[in-house]
Amino acid sequence: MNPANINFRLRPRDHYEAVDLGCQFVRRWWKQLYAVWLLTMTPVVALCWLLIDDINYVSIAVWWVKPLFERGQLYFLSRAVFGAPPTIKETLRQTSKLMFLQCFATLTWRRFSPTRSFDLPVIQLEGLKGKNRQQRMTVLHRDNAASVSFWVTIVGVHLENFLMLAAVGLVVMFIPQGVQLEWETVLEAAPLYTACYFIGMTLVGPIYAASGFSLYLNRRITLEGWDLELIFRQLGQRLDDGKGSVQPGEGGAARRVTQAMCLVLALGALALPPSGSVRAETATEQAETADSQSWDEERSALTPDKAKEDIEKILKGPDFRNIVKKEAPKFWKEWEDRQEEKREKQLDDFKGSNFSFGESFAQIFKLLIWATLIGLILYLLYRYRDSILALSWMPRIERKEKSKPTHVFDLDIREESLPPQLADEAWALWEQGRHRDALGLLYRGGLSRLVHRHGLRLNRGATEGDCVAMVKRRQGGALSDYFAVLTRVWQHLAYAHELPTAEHFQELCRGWTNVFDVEREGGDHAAQ
Amino acid sequence: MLDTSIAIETPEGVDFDLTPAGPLSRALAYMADFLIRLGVVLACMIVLSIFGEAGVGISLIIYFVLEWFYPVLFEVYRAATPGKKWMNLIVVHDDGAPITFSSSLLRNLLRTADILPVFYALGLVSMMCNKQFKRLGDIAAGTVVVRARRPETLTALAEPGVRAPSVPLKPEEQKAIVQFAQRAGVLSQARRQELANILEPLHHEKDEAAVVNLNQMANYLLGKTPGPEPVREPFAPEPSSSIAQPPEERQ
Repeated sequence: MNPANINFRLRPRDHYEAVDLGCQFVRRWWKQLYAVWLLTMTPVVALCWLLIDDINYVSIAVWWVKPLFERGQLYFLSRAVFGAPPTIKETLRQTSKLMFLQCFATLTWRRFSPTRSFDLPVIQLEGLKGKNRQQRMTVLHRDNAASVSFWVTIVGVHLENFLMLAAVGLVVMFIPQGVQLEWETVLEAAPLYTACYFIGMTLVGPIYAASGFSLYLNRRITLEGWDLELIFRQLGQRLDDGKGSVQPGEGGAARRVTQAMCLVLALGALALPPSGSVRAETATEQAETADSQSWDEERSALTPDKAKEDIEKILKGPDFRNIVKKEAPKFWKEWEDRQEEKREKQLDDFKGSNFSFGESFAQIFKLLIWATLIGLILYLLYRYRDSILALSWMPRIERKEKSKPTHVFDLDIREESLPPQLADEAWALWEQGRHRDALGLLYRGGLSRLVHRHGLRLNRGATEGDCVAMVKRRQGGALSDYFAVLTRVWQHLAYAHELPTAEHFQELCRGWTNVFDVEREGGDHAAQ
Repeated sequence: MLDTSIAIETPEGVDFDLTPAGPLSRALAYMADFLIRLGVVLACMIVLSIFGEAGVGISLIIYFVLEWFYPVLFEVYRAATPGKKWMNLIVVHDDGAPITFSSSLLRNLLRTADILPVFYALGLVSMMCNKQFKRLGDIAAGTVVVRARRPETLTALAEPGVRAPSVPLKPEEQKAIVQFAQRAGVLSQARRQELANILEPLHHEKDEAAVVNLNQMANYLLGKTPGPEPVREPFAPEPSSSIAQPPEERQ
């Protein structure tokens, strides 16, 4: 056989991993494998059905000759993995011949061998018998392989039976609710069990055969170094082609791609796609060329307007507009009703029963568990109180004085620190030319009022923008509009050193009195 | 090409392999976990039976907690339940990241779906239908059960002498040569010679001499320093230079 035609990645594997490779074989050729299995099994089942009266013995008879069905699987797989999958017709023809290979031994003293599928390739593919077979098996069974093969058989037997029960269970599940079935009827439905057993057998059979084969294959790869042979042959080929000289990739990406192509051609069926790095390099190179050409054009086009446009375009793009909608079913109410019914019933049961130590203990225990649960919920509510409060709209909630912050971004917002006639004071400062202090006082006063009179809850890390957003969410209306304007003016002064005009400032002072001081007399209507 | 492992690419463009574990290993791991849980619950029931019905209640709670949180806690804090550890498996996210509490809870709660109709039949079918052997819980939680990789241990080579390869070798070729030397105990002598002969263009030797030659190259590739009499060819690159790439390639 030519290693280059092999259909799976050659490397020595752990035995369990080798079994997984067998599962991948089944996944790859499941249509052919199951077709072959069914076509071999069905005539046997039919024959047994005709010959044997008791249906229970039919399944035992079919189970007994099952090892013969595995030969067709092995025939197909042993060719398919080396790149030449035979047709189903061909497989069936060969199976009918292979069935008689050492079949007496297989069906008698080797029938209960726990390493059956692992040993089958020795007689079928290597054609060994007698002492040679024994010696060959001893070598293959070493290094724990036999025990894994044993587990394959054990798990296989269980899966077969579990799948049978699952098939029965599925049938029982689909019996309409109106139909009353006695359990005895289900348990004694022998034809149902037989049919379901055949389903289980069919599902597991090819997997079992493939697992044994891949275990055998892996053993040979390890023992004979097939993976090494493949790489050595490639290396030998490379050296022969280049006459020993090395071809470093100084020519860059294009050259390396050519090399990769050569390698691909040389390897035939073992073609590997060009590696990721090569592709990446080519892409980078192209991008660089394109960059240098359009650099100057782009530079001239970089204006603030253009940038703004770009930013808006990006913000509107899919990266910033991921809306995920999730819905939950409305089962909550029904669940609650059901629980209520149950609880009442349990309570009645409890009242009706006699008092005993065990039960009172159980009641205490139950109370303890409920207490723990309630405690846990309360703790969680307390632990996440801020997030919960932020979610709910509760303007009139009174909190302890100490929980209010005294400083927001280093501004003192305690009520005591503010003058009584704040707007007048601010105007006076402005007149003196202390513009920054004047506007700062307005802003600070506004924040203070919001925190102390409007129940605004600021966290330590809030920014000016956060404050505006929070006020807008909680209050809305004139207050939030005014505060937004005040904040913007304050930001312009604080960060950009842009003074507002005197008229504008005067307007702000008037606004401050209107918005913040009016409801001191008018009650909390603003809070509504 | 069929393989049992899948390559995960990191944002840095580095590939690393994950080897999803199939039905056999997972069934055995489940069996071990099941027996452990069964043992614990039975022991609790026997001990707690002195408390009468209250004891039954407590055992049922223990059973409940074990059934639902045994896998979750072990997976989150140890990456694998004891059964999985026995089979050398761990649970990770699809991208190879460690499993989180929510994914673990999800994949274990969905056992209720996998177990249908009985004995995990649906889970088995799902596993065989999925390339990475995922049961429904794994698909929902975006997790995969993989084989934990054991670090490869390199046995010291008996062969004396160090020889640099006459041409630069690709990483997989270097690995193959080291493997050739490492697997000396597994490969038969005739087979070793046969394999070594394939590489005649590399070392221009035959049979036993070829095997010795390859073993010495493996010594070199494993970073063994030359002995008192260094066997090195005049045109070989210096040992200090990177052997993974030819010197001309470095800029």
